[in-house]
Amino acid sequence: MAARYLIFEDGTVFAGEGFGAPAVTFGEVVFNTSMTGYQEIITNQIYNNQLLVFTQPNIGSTGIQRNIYETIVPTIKGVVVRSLSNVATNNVRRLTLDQYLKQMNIPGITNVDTRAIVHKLRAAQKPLKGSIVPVPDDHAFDQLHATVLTSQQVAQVATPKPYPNPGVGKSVVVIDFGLKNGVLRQLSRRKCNVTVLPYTATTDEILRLDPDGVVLSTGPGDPNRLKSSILATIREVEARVPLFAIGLGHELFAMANGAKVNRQPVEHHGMNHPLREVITDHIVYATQGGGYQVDPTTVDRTKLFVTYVDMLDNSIQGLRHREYPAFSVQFFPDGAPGPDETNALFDEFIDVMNRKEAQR
Amino acid sequence: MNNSDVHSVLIIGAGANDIQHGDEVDAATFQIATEFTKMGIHTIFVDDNPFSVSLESHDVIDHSCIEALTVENLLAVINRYKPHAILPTLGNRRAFELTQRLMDKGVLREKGIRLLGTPEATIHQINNPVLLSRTLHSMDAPMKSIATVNNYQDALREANQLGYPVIIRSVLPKSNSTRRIVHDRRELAAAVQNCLKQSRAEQVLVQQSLAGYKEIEVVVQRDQSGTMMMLAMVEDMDPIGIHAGDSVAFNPPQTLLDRQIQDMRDTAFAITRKLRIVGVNHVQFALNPANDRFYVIKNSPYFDRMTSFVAQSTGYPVAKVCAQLYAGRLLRDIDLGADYIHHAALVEPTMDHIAARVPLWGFHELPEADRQLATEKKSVGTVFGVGRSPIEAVFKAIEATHRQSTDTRLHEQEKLSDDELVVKLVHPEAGRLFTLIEAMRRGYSVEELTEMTKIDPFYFDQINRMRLLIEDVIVHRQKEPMLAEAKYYGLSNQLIAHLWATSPEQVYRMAEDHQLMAKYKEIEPSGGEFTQHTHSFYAAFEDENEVRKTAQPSALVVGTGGLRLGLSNAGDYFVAMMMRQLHVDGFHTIVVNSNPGSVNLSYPLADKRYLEPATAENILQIIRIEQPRFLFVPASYTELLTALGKSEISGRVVVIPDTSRSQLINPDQRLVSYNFLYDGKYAYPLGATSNIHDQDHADLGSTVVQYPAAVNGPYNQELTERGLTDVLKEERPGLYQVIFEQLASDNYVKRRVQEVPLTELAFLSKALRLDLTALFTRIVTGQVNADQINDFLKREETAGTALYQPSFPFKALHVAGGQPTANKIIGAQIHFLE
Repeated sequence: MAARYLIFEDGTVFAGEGFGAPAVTFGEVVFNTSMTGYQEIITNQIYNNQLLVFTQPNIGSTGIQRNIYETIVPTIKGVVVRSLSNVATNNVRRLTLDQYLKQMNIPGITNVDTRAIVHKLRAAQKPLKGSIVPVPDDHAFDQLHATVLTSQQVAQVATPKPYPNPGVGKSVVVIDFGLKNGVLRQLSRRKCNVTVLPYTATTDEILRLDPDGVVLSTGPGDPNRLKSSILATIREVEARVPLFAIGLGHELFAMANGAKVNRQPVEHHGMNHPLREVITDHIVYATQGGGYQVDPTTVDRTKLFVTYVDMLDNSIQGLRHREYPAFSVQFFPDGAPGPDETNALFDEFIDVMNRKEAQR
Repeated sequence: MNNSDVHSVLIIGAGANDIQHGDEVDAATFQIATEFTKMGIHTIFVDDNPFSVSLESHDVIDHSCIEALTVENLLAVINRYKPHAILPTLGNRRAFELTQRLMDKGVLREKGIRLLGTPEATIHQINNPVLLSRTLHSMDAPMKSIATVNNYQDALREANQLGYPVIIRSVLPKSNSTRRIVHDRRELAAAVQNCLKQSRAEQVLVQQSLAGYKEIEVVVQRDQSGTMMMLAMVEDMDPIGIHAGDSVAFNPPQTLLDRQIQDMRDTAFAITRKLRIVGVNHVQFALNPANDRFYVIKNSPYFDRMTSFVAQSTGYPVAKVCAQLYAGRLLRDIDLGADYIHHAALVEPTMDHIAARVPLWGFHELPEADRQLATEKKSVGTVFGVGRSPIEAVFKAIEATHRQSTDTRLHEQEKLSDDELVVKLVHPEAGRLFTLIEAMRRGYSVEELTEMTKIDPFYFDQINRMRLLIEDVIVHRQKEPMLAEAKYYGLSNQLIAHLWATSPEQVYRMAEDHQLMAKYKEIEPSGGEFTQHTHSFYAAFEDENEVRKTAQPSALVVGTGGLRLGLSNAGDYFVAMMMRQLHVDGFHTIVVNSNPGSVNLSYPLADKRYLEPATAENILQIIRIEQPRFLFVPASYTELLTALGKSEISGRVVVIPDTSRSQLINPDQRLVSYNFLYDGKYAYPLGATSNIHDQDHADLGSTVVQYPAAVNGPYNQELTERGLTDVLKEERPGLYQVIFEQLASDNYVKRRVQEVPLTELAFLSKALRLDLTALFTRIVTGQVNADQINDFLKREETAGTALYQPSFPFKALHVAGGQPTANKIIGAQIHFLE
């Protein structure tokens, strides 16, 4: 493997070895503390624009499996690991991680002190830009300084066209902000008849399909950068149809109802925080990922109430509308990877749709 | 249920070490008792293991009862101390059986005694696999087919139905080793007969074999409100068919997919909920990698080798948290103090390092034992290595075994013929890793090896990289970039020196010259997400160093490593008692150890831990950082002691006498040992022990020891004086014994003077009710004068005659006619004659 370097704007250089695509890459550097599911994580579109550091040191040991992608074309900017294993053995895992990243044109760097990088990111208390380069020279740093990361992240990853995922059960419209396949998998398991619409879909386009319910998907980036027309659409839809919002969708749902969403100083990606379900006082674990959260001081004035709280930082992890059958979670209830304990939220969504239908 | 009215707890101990358990339960007991004491709960502890630290921890055990673990004795203790509750999770399976017998007698109900950790119904379930499997079936937990029969004909019918291989097991077994894999009809009759004989219910289980599947161990935790979390999942490299304790194991798992992990996690939670377990639960699974289907194979809701491995490798304080759960506290209310974030007890441990655990064998002491690995455990101890890649962790773990160098062991494999190698691949033996490396060297393909061994291809990829690395090192002799790479992957200086045909010192100097010194990372259970301190460190040749010199005067203690025959956990006992005294005397204790079960890694004893093999390079680097006042090193670490002798180091080196042995040569010898404490100036007699020969202990040869010795009064005086003269000639202060052989009733011949073996020291401390280790420690650190010693010894009260009765692993290792000698003991019991 060729030498490669992870560099930061402040001049810090981490020397390692390259794998994956031999390209120069830029992005925000974030870390993920999950111990399982690197393939699902790499293929999650929330990492658009980002270089992801895995704290789990050995990555690649199960190769690439044909049936656990979270998206077809991942847009993560780079993968940073401590120890790379390249294993591919049979027909369900024909590709090694290295081969896969080459195919997808995603650079990687291994044999770097990932724990030191995590400490650096935490100490900065703000998002840091980084670059993976073959030579850490002035030119590389100049380029890094000059790079402006796109704010059009959702536009980059969301589907431009509607497509169906037919089923025999409830008709569900999924608005795609950078959809994670786990959501479709959970809906399929519940036999839903799904239509995925672009995030630009208007209220008319959504309601024309006469859905039993609408899902606002996860996605990358800052919800404040999206057009306010989306918030209007959400308000119109939630008043008429049961709504379930996840991740970026949850942030937009909160904003549509008057709350504010802020950037966290250090992004949290992992699956080990205790989350308290407010109504039952139960503690569950779920995969969390993203750099934004709903400002708790802005929820009181809305028609929303808090349903889940992260017990470590008291951040809001779930909301529900007081009047409409609409609810949301910041975490990923579909797992993939991560605990299954909150899968039941999809059952709840089905229940809500059933109840709504009974009222009709 | 609220346990706030539990003011006193009876803890049922684990008894003598055996093949199934080492000192991990002592370590857990010590920590849990410490927490109970902090919570104001009185502790009553029954055990008869002379090497138990907990039994002598009067600061955390209010009533320590040295009694054999029988229902009668427990009843007497209950009547005497009237505990509010019983904790059955610190004495292995036997504590569950004893608890059940107490329940059957109606004792618990009659006296209103509660069970902590597990409800009564669950005790029945754990003790009876048939009941448990019925419960698991009823909740749709995946189980392999199992049938109970009481005769050969029925067993044959079941076996035919299930298809071979099948496992035959005893119901309510009298001993531990009652599992047989039966491959065909021919083997069935003997196995059924044997297991029927071993069954208290005269029943055997016929169970479909899961041989070849992946073995996965999950440790989960639950509080009484039902909150559950997973502490770790550990993957065995070897498939089912080789006992989990004999396999190389990895935390975290390396070859599992997320969905497999989540499914097993869900099942472990469901079982733990169903059995209403409070505290830890260790669930073992067999996973068929071909179709993702998995089966529950064992459920152990008690402290065992896995819980200690998980605690040390994740940094999550399992025992500390569990004690609070037992006391009725909820996970959300547990405060782990300033070293952890708020609610740290609720954060599922996440690791940014890899821990590899390897078994230690007793074949050196028992060469006649069969080395073939199967479903019965054969290893007698375990050590682990921590690294930032699987290879680094494995290289360190191998180094920590303190056996021959890796290359020597590889050379042995090179001598095998192809046929021999194939036999070894298909019928694995102890030390299998080296066979696998050799197989890769001879060009076997990963597919072939996977087929033959059922080991995941990932491990062959790693094994091959280990092999190539070793070959690379040989080729690039004395090259700096090669040295850097070798250190990065965890190769020890010893191994590199072997490969370069030079000395470890030379490699160390070369590393120094190129600034290739270890840095240390903290084992911290959030993967770096939070600032937390476990004070456990491991070496990494990377950018960042997290360790700081301890501010207080410190003592660096090198533990005696993994358990081995002859020493049992007496080494850990001695080191722990020493650390306790060092603490009392104001030293910060820093321990280097790689035995995850060791009591001296527990947080009340160790202020700082280095989980590294105790090699010269590691110790020298740690000394450089910590600059300890004292350095304690076991005598068995000869290479280390030699290296330290050659180096200029600050601090004084004190040798831990872990190589001293009872001197019996033949079983007919009658020996009397006069024991002394020598402070460098005076020798203080501690009384004598003698080995006994009687019909009751005929099968133990003459390894049974009694205190005080059976010597007639006048001779006793004379021998004490003769012994005293000899001890005063010793160069160093310490604990000595002068051994006499009794040739006739009035004829005693002196045989030798030696340091008191640690096994006997532990026994003697309990028999005398004197903390001899503490005294030893104070003498060697110069913290005590003659008056104080006399004072200390005066407090002696006679506890009557005590017997030390060792046990041997002959049965467990199927050694017929094994000769009981002191170097083969695996555990021991102490008891006082009425």
